[in-house]
Amino acid sequence: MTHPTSQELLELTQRGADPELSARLRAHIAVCERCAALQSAMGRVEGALNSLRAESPSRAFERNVLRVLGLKEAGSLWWTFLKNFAPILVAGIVMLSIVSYGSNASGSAGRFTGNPVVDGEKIRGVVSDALGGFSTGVGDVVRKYVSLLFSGGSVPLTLYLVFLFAGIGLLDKYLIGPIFRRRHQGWRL
Amino acid sequence: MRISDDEIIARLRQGERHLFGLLIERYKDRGFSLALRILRNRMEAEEALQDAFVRAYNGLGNFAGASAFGTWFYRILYNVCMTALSRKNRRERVVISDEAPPPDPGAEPVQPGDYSGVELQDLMRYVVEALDRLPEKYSSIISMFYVQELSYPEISEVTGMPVGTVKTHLFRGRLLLQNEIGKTLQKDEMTV
Repeated sequence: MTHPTSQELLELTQRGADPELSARLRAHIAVCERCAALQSAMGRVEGALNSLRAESPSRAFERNVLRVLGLKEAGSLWWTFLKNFAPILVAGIVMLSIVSYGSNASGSAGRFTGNPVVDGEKIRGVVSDALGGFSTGVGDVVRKYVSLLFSGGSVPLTLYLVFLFAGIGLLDKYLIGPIFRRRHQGWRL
Repeated sequence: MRISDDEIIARLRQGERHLFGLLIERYKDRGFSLALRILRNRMEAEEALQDAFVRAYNGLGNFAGASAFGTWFYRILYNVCMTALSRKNRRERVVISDEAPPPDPGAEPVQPGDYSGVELQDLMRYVVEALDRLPEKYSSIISMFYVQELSYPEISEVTGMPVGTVKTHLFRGRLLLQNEIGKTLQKDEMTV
């Protein structure tokens, strides 16, 4: 019996192998244990080679290359504005949340009624209170809410703040930040 | 919608320089794998890859678009890696002798061993380890074919070798790989 060469057996495992040769080899393999084992082993290595994945350079690689080239990751006016003012916006949201919760907790503004007109008035009152606090001195506002944090019945408020800041941080890191970066750069890979 | 390489290059030429980041993002992993396969050192591979990206960026004006950007970039990277390799005279460190390649690859007996009981994950580990021991001219072409997924003509363009030589190297590389894995398996069986 004439066995096929290893080259022929290897070609059988390749994409786009000659159909005529493939048919001849398969007929041989069907009756030859030695060649069948050899071809099976070659096929498994071929499968492993096809499963090879690219490795990644370090996480800082891309940033380093862009720095060497003198390029920035972002450049539009909108992105620059958003990036620079995002902390202020977030701080504003946090402050309003604290004011709203603090007002509700202290009973100065009462609970929300579900009536948009009435509740809107209450929110406006709270915001104007807060702005008033700012106008008379930021220190008053800070003192007011810091003292509230450490008073006896403020555990829920403290927990609320912890979760609020943690939530904002996680949202910014894993959702909002990546979405804005990708949208801005058109990184739809 | 994914922006094509050609569109990115056109926009780069119009001044949207930050879009080069997209090309880096697209080619850094496969490029790094090729550089790592040739240089066998992560730090050197990363340096070579960075050098290649810088050269590609500065040489975009010379890119005529006759071939795909990827092929053109891999050619730059391959040349950078070969220069680095030559400078460090790494060829002397290759474990498998490159002096006596199989005289007739087609007739060379293959000792692949019995892989029937080997899990795919273990087999892939054997493959990667064997690739690290292959001469660079075989392992780099195997990498280009399987990881960068380049065709024979593209590999020929990247390496500057004729297509026939590429095919021969790829075939010999596969045979050496089979034999090397077979040896590793035999060693493992003996130690168990």
